Amino acid sequence: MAGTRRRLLVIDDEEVIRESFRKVFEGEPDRWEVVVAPSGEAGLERLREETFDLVFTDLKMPGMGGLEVLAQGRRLRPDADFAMMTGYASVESAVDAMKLGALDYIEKPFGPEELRAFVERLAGLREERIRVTEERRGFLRFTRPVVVQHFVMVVTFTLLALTGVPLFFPETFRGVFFFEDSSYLRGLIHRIAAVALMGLSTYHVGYILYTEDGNRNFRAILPRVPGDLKEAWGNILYTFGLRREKPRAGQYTFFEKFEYFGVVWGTLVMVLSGLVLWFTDQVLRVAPLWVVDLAKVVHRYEAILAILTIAIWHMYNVHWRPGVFPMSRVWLTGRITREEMIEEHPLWYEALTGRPAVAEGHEEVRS
Amino acid sequence: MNGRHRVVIQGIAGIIVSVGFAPGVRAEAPCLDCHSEVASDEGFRQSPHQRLGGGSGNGPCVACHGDVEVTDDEHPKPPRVDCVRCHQKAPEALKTSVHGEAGDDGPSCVDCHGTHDVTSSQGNHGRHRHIASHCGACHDQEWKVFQKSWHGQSPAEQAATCSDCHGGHGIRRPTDPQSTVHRLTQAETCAKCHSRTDLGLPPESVQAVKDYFGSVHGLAISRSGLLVSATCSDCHGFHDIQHGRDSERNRIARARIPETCGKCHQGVLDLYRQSVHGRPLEEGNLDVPVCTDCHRSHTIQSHYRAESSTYASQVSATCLKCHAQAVLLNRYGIPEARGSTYLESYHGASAKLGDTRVANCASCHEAHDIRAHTDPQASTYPDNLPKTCGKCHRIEDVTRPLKTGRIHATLAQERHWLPGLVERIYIVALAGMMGFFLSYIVAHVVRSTRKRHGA
Repeated sequence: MAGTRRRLLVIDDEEVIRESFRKVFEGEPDRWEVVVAPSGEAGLERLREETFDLVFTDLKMPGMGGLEVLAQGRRLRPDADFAMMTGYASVESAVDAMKLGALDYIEKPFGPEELRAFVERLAGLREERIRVTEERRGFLRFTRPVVVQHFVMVVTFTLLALTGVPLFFPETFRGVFFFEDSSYLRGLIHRIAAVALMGLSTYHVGYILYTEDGNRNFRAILPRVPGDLKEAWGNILYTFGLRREKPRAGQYTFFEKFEYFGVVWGTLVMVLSGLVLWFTDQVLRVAPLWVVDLAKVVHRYEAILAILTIAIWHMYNVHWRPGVFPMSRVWLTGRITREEMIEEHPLWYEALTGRPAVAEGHEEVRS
Repeated sequence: MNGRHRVVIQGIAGIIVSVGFAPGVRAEAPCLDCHSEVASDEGFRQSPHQRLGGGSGNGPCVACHGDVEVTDDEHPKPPRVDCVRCHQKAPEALKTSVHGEAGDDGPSCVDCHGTHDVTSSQGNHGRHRHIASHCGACHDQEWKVFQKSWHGQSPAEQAATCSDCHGGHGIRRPTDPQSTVHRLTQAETCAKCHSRTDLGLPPESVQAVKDYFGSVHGLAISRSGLLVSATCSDCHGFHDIQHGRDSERNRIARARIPETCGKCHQGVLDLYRQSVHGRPLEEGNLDVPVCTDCHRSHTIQSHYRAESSTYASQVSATCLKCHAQAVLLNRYGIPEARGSTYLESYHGASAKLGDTRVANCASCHEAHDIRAHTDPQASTYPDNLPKTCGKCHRIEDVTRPLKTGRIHATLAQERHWLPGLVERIYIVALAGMMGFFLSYIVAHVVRSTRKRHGA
């Protein structure tokens, strides 16, 4: 595919072969990068240290042979594709190698044109294979800890909203609480959910501080100024029809970062004001009554703000917008489709795959 | 025994009586020739006994007095009249009655029923005054009181008289549990008439009697047999029972209700009299609530019952009957919206949702001992707040005054400035954010649709 630079690893004890790769592909450094290794052991060493798109290995080498390189190399780099180079006599071994997972083999000796055609064809196969894999599996948007944390958040948030909102409209909900002590139960569930949310928040802090996954995610979601602002402004212009091109976003768009930090802020505010209201007695011992009044105002309005933001903004952007409605499955599976990835997070796609984020003909097919 | 049988038996008795005495009757010596005072007695002529002994000549006389030999216009004293010979049932009931127990000191038949003018107790004009006058002959104090009562003065023919409440032959002491006016039975007795809809009684008063039996007072008597529980006469009086709430003599006149309830609820009455409600009443102010305004009268319930007007979840509605009335609030300079600020508070909202543990008006202001918050003895006096709030919140031992905020704060100067400012900031932020969200979403929908259609 145009514009993508591929890394080739050539493992062969014959200098002439290594040189032929260099000669054929060095002329186009923006498309190809060739790395060579004189033995199976040296090749595996490179594989251990770097990533490659295509690995070419000779079948018969002193020391470690090609089949061994293939077996260990695939284990080391499942993403890479392997091809065998072989003399006439060992075609059968080459076929065995394909059974072990090699893409293809080329018989020695080969001329420059033959080599170029072979490598181009393999690159095309690899592209196709990757695209099919990506389409089938999508991309990991949320790791397991994120899915679980989000799920706990959904449950606690819903419980808190359901047991808190009736206090805004007691007349309306008078009949809903149908038995004597259900109002007391309302308060009890609210507090249990609050404790769960506080637990989740504590876990989340630990997660971003002490796990690699959390560390990476948190770094990715930290605001970038002015990049994020530009992206947001561009998005608004685009949405309101004032700009033709949609700004290209990374792993997290400005609005997603805004929501994340909105939740952080909201949780902090709700937990603090909620604790004041929960432990009014203790608070009144040390603080004047207006502190409780302030907590009441804050808890009430922050709740309205959070519930409306989730119900309107979050639900629309994540689940109800055209093309996704009625529900995105990311929050359950943690995976995002390739198509969505390229549409919504092109920069992240490019960073992850090293390939340009271009949707193949989807737009044309649609229109 | 049905009516026809009774007529037949009476007829047979009449024949036996007339046959038994007929041979002795001497037509040539009619009793009434000499006993002209009897002959001229209008009562005798109206009496059903006129029909005895064939209903003519000496028949009716001999039927009661027996036959006598008249010699030279004189005859021996006839035997004592024995009413029981015909009225065999009456003495059974009378024997165990308070009158029967008195033996010879008690009234005889004629003391109540009269002699020649004996008349039926059924449907006679002026019945109730007639009966009362007979009883009153002995019970003169009660009669005097009764005559001034609504029952005594009512023009209604069916208005209660002595026997309606106390019974007839079987009359018992009011302290006898079998008495119809004993504390355990009295309400049933009153209800005999007062639950009837055909007597022209006001429907609400008929309902009130029915309600009473389901009230805390009625149930205490009927279920628990509690003698001290209030029955009809405790509030309404008995011989002196009055009609019309305006009457000073009426125990249930508005101004007298606390005193009436206080006969039993003395401790509550003492608190009430010191309260912001009770003191003005002593000075003749009838705007203030009396017992029944909060507790109701015949439907009164324990405040532990959900249907009670003083149940935790009902208290605010009960208080707000008056405290939400602009006229009353203005008249006494009570700040407005004390009620609405409560209802909007956590206490109020939770109470509306049915939570009975949160504070209601009475939790802080007390029920009977309500005082102005400027009164140092008031539960809402600033220095007393730790104790008052401490009933639920663990702050009873806080010595620092809690004066730093007003509970029912409505006026700007009563509130701390910060919560109000934060509220305003939130409202602006909410409006701004929701406005942006909604317009963005609309634009996004439009944009996505256009893009999909290749525009």
